[in-house]
Amino acid sequence: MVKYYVKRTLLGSTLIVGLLIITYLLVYIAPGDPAHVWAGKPRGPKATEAIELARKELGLDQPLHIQIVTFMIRFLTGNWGVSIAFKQPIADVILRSFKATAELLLFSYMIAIPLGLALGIFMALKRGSKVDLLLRLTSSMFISVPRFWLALIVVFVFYLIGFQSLGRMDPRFSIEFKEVTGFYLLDSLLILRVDIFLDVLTRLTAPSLIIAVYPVFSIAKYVRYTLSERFYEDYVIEAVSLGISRISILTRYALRGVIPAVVQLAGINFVYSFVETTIVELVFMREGIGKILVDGILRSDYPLIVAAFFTVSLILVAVNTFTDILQKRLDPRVTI
Amino acid sequence: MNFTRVSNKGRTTLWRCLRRTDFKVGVTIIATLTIIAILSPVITPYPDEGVGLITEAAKQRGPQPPSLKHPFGTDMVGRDMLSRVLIGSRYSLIQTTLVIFGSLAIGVILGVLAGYFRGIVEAVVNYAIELFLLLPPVIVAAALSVAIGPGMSTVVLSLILTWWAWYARLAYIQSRQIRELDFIKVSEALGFGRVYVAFRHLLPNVAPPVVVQSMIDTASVLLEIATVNFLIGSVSASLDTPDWGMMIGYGFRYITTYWWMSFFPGLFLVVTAFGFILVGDAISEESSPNLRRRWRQWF
Repeated sequence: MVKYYVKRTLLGSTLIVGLLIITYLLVYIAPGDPAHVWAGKPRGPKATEAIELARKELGLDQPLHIQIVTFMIRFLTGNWGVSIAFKQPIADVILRSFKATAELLLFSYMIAIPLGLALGIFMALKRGSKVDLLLRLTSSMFISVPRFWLALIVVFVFYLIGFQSLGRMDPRFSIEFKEVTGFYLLDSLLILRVDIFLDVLTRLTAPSLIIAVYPVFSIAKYVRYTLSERFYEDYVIEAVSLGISRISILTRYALRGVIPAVVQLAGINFVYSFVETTIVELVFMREGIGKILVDGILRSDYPLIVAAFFTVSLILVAVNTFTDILQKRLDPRVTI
Repeated sequence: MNFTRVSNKGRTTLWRCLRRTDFKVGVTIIATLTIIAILSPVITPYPDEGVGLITEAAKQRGPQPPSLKHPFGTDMVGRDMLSRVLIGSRYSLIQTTLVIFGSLAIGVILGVLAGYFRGIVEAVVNYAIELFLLLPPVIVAAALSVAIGPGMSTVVLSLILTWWAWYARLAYIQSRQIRELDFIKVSEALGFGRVYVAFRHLLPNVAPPVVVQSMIDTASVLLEIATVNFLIGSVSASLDTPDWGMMIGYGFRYITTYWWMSFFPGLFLVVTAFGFILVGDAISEESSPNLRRRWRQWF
């Protein structure tokens, strides 16, 4: 068991090294002078100065292997330089936006996993019936609606009925509000302001429900199929013949085998949802990774985008490692 | 055919699919869209405006809400949205096709190589698969559009970079099973080269299930492409390319005043994705015996 954890963590850390190399390659695929791109394609009198600075920062005058090592050390120590678009240290900008995205995504998954599980169990119990067919068609329909478009429609409808949903918080609270952790939901409780908490919560709900659409239906679909199969396994048949009640067969026996796979599915969906979140939060005009990307492209802030790329991939490595270890705890048969 | 075929269930799957209503509806949607895409320069009322030209008439028109003359309204510079949306179907279909074929080619070849040649090749390819599965396509696209400029090639490239790994993993698992079968051992014993055996005998048997998988997740590819295009559209100062995702992204800034600019491209996107999902679900249910099961309710 411990051996598996060590192995999985080691794989995770080698993936981080691989990510650093890809990140480094991203700097080099730019046609022309990489220093020019790294400096944000500057123009004007100070341009040559900025490009020279970028060249020194990247260590372009040194041999390749030294460049890679310098680059890795710079990234691993969090010394990411100053953002061109935000005029602040990149690490600070990323951390702030990342917290905003994480708040939305975690809140959304706290809704999505139980909801998907419940829906899947319901469909499995009703398998083959009209209700099941209807739910399956509904889920296909929901999955085929691009979430950013759904978000756009919701924003438009809220605008028409005059409901405030954009941003993370009502601007009039911004003076009294103090950031403690960076997660607004938590912060508003820490400073004991219920009105701010409710405001943050209402603004969080709509985007997180939209992000939850994909995980809910994909988990439900998966649970429906695997749970339905479990109902025909010998151990379930025996439990029925022993007269054990339906509820306890479901929760004690049949569901046991389904949960580990749901954990892994949620982990895989998390990667997909991360991408969706960046766009949905953009539509809801919330700060976050999505805003970083847009500002980064608009201002040609290449170091910022590269840092965002690295951070997000790092989180995904962590999530995948965590879900794999969790799955192993729940189901000891799993091997790498 | 002078290579050995391990299974021949592809044809029966297709026949079974053809009896399903959802499959038929899905195929009808996709076929209609393909016809629209092919004929779009002929059937659209303003083909020039559709591909992005700002004509004199358009300049005088300005943004207009949907009317009888312009059923989908006109965009910021007065171009007819109906023409743009219809011609946009070309862009969506071409990008989806390119991404799927590109990822299939890379994925199947690398997967077969990893599954057949063990040792270092297997280790390297598996590592690359783990690594590339992690890359978030939207952020890769953002980086590429700063480095090599935004455009259709950026979108396709970033999607292929992140998508091939799924197919490589599938092809790898398949070829690991098939390489143990007798006909592969026989070909090796007869003295055929290893590369020849891999591509002549292994690949034709590995490819079909991977291709089926690619048909199942066409809708995801379509939506992911649209998502990346949305990002590029939302940072464009002006928009000529009539891509659905880009048009939604461009129109999103004006959603409160000119809602039709992002509403109609999205509607087409939804219908297209729904068509692909219906087909994909039908294929996935019919091609795997577990999902095909008709449940007898007793529990």
